[in-house]
Amino acid sequence: MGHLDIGSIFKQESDVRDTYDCVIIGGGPGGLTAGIYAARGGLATLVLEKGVEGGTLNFTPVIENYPPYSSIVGMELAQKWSEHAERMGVTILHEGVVEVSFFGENLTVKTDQGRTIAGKTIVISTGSSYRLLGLPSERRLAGKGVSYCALCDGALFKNKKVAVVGGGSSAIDEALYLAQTAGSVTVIHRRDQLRAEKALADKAFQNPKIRFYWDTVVVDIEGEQSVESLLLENVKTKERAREPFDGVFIYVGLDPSSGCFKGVLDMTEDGFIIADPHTLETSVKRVFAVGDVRQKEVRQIVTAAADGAIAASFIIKKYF
Amino acid sequence: MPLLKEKDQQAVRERFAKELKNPVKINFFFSREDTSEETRITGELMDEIGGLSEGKLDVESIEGKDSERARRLRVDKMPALVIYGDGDERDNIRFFGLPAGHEFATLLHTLITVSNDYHVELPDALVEKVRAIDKPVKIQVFVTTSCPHCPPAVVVSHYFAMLNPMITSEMIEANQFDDLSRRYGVQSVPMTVINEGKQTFIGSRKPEELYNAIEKAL
Repeated sequence: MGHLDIGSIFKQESDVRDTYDCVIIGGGPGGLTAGIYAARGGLATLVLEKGVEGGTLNFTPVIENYPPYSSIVGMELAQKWSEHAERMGVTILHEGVVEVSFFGENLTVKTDQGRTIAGKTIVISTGSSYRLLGLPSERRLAGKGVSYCALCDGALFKNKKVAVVGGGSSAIDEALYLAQTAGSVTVIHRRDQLRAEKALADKAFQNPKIRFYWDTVVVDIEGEQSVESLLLENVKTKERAREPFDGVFIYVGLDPSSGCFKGVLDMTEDGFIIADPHTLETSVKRVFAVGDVRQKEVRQIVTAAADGAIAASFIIKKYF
Repeated sequence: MPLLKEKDQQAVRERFAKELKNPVKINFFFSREDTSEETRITGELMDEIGGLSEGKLDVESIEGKDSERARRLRVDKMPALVIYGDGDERDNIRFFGLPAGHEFATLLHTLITVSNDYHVELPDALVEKVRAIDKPVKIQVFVTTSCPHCPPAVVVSHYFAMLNPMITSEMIEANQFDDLSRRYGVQSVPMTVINEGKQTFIGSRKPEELYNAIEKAL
């Protein structure tokens, strides 16, 4: 047996000041990297994280595309990242942001613990959250067989028959994770091929426990107390079929977590924050957006980290 | 070979040196018939962290549900950890199953809080309300060790038990106690079950919401 995996044990709330040179909202790869660069540039830097440092990394079982790790457990990468930030002198505070007020050089955020903190500059790295299918039954059966976190709930479906809805990299990631314990995994995808990166897709195709329903959408999730079956429709033939399942894991995309910046910053229709591609400064001076929450083409750990470095470097150069 | 990596041992040792104040008792209850890996590791892990505490953590392994101590501390299932301050023998802060992964942080936080005179981080107004509860309450928080959302749910529940001996708080590793998980239909974690199912909810909620759920269950 190897060593035991343990979560982050470095959680400590140091003294929090009223003002920082750089306040970073969200402690995922983009935010923590911005923190590392800002702190190394001599800026007093605060990262506000409402959940666990490392953000979405913690929900990814295994990561195989963050160089130079050929394979690393998400939680471990998350820990390394936050240790790095803390070692560089970044203060991490476990509070979420509920309100922002950006007027001229007066930039403040209000936290869910009622604290108001001012930043000479702000970096938004709030990331994204899973998208719902949008079925009424999905809400009713959430937590009763409908799940958005294979890492959390996967172990509760040992030897059971589960479905994964979606065809992107996260869907296939989760399908592979679930296949370790579940009896069988059915990937239900509305197109006739996967969007997931090829290396992942190949692994899934070779896994005897995983099968694929192409051109198929979930029309309804059925069950009284918990998920019992799915009503499926083939989008080409419009044929419908009902099939029993014990659980369904939904990965149909991500929505930006940008709610508290609506009306404050320029955004796309979908809510992605628009930032200058060279500096990552948003429509409000001194406010930057990095990682999954901003409008961009490639959303990866490595591009989020790059965003963080770019924004912090520009902040140091232009404002300090 | 030690369970914890060298660097984790060092981090735990430093944190204990800085944050442990009063001695803390860890009672580890196990059954000889239970040969599972998880149970064995739980015992070893407790011994290991005990060894990193400069004698502040007093770890005791107790065999059998029918032992006198198990009866006194109301241990009804195993493996179990009951944690209390030196000299108080409280029985209401409990872990069932291996607190590894994300739950290791919960365990450390619990030990440190107990060691610091049960000083909890909750708003004063809520502390008063929790202390005023005068009926027995049992809070069971079902978790998996790979669940990043789970630790806050257990921490808050344990806080409530620290404030009021009428409240019993249990972390339950859902896989190791699958009969119990099935009884309450646990399919998503964290799931909190109050007074054998009078109230249940999924997810980590705010401390005030846990209080409201308890009120409804009573």
